[in-house]
Amino acid sequence: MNLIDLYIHEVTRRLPEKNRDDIEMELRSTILDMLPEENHTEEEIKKVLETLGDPALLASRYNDRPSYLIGPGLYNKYLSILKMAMPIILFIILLVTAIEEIFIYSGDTGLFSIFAGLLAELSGSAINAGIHVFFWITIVFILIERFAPRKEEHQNIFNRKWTPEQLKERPIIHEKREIKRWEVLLGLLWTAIWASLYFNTPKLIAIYENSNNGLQFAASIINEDILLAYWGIVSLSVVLEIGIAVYKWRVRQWTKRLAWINAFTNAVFFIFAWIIITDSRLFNNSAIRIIGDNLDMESTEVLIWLGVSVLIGIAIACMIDSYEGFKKAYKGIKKNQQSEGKLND
Amino acid sequence: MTRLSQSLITEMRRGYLTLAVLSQLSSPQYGYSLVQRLESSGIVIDQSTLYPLLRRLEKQTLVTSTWNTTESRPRKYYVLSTYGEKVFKELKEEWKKTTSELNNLLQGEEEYESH
Repeated sequence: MNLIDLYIHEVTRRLPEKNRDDIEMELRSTILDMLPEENHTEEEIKKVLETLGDPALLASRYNDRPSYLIGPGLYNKYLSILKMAMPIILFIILLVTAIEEIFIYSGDTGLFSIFAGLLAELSGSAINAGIHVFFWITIVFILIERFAPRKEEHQNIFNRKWTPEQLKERPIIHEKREIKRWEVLLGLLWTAIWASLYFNTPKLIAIYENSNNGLQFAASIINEDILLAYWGIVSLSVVLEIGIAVYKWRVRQWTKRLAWINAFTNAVFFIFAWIIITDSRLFNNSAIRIIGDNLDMESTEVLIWLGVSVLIGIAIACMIDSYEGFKKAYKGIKKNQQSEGKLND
Repeated sequence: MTRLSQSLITEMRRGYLTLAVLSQLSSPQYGYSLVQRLESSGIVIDQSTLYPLLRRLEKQTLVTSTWNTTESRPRKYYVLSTYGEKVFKELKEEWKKTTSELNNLLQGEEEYESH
């Protein structure tokens, strides 16, 4: 008798309370039905319990709840939402953190420590946000799996009825031409960082001298007032960058047109940089003098050397970026034509 | 028998188990009497599957249940509801149709093999 009680308890303790008593009674009468009428031995009880099997398994069959967290009907949607939400939310968090960090900058530290601090802060909040996003999306999907009514097996609140017409919504994008969403977001993040650096801390691009107290601020290379006077041009670049990011987000692949737009924007950036850098008042005279003394050069030489090298650097960066755009735009075009040719055969 | 065919057979059985159980519930049956009836007609059913299945059928309103306390021990009796009778009839028709179609298929395959 004791074994029977233990078995029934093992089953019912896993069941929701409202069914417990009824199942317990039914199970008890069933077990007694299976035993000989009177004087059953422990061996006989064991045999009967064995045919009923593992109490955990029996209990799980009584429970209607699924024994998985996210079933096959929702799994794909779950993955795609995770993939979609992760970069967007990460981006927003990173953006907010970056701008916050730059704005609370107190002016005590140099450019390098700003970047180091920024990087540490960004990776910290990225990990934090990533874990949060993953956790909450998973929780929501588990709840949907449990409680949302479903019309059919493997069909749920997300699925609309499939029609061939839907195929047109997602054209095939050649892998090498594809622009990943996170790339676009990363680009925007970069824009946000340099724009907020521009408006807050241009004086940090400076000469530092070694002294007993470590690096000491000697002279700012750039005249902050002159640089900030170009805010119009800089804002225009920011708008251009945001515009191109939006365009990339929508077309999602490198096209010839996008490559041309990209090259054009790069040219515009270069012209802007040219205008700003060739402004003779941009560089701080005292800083130029310090550099000149150290390198045994005349101030004017230093100015030319500094301006030209910065401009060449920017030009090379712009050219590489434009070239990459064209390279990606023409990637896979041959292949596509081949496969289209096959279809026509 | 290989393990794969064993699991395929289990899967197949799961399909017609409902039909087998419904077929025996025109008159009220309690759990163990149902097991005996099924086993006497050669249908082996895992008991840990049957009792939960009966409850599910009740939840789907295919069967109704009553506790009978007049006997030596209380027993829960299950019987087809009117809705259950209707569904059972439909399942039975489908079963007959499918088996005859399947038999034709299998026969054709056997003849093809013998050539």
